[in-house]
Amino acid sequence: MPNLDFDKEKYYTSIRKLDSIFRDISETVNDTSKWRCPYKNVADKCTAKFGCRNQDRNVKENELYICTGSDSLNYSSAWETE
Amino acid sequence: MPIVNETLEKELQYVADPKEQAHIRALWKHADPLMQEISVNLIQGKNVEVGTLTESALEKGFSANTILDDGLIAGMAIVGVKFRDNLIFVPEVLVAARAMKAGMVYIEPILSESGVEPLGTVIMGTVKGDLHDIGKNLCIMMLRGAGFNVIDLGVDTSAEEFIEAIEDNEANVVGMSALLTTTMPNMGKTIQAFEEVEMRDIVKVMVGGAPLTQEFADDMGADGYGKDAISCVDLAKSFYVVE
Repeated sequence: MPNLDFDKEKYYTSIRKLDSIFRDISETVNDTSKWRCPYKNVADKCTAKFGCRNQDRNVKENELYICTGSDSLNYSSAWETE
Repeated sequence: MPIVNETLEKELQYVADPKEQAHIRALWKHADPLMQEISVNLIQGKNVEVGTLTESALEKGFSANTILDDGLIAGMAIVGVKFRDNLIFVPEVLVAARAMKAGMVYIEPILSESGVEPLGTVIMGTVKGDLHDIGKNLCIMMLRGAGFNVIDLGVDTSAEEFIEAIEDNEANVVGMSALLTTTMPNMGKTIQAFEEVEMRDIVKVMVGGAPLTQEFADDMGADGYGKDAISCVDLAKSFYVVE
């Protein structure tokens, strides 16, 4: 049987904690996005659903494209905008 | 109980500052191994596993509070530290947030039963012709974390899709995102479509996206402009408080 005991006050404390974690994450996003494309994952693969000149599409079927972008150059000008 | 999950112990080693590591380690001080397993799977972004483990934990008698604190939020704390220290990046954070959502699916009915209502419902989408979704997805992660019910319409969203979602979900707040200067005007067109179906008075519209400015948002008749995910949540809260 599922445990239906629930402490509302504890829940609101939890939500405040989670909100604080996410606010820190959002601030990190603002910093990180200045130098690294946000669509580029930790394995340097591209997770974007749109085209980008930095995508190396020479990969197996269903694999993510490889990001060839340099983290020291502005990445956004490579994105397809049409 | 000490940390018995080897993978979680390994994840903790990424937290370089000893003080911070001790602080985070304490989150699992009283946590059952099952909670540690939920945390590990969340950190690794395994949404199916997090869902299954959360359901199983509830069946075994763990409270929703315990699962939320010792499993889901504790895992997300590590995600935040790894992201801050550039050990993972935005896509991994979003995958972890998706895993958190998979666990919350089982927690939410208990919240509802206990009289905890969402702060409100927010419809979110990237406008027609635009496929950029990362800003929108970060906003959704934060809105859900703050306690909102969020309907994600995805990318390339037409005015008709926004209108249908507002009606179906009785939502009072809509968030629109655009990254391209070529698709930004579609935000204004969508707002115009709300006016045409006499819906404008019942919804507050917030807009965001890299090329947008407060001035542009004002010109197209939006109720608010969010420069980042934090302002998006603050705007949504302000709209629902006003109502």
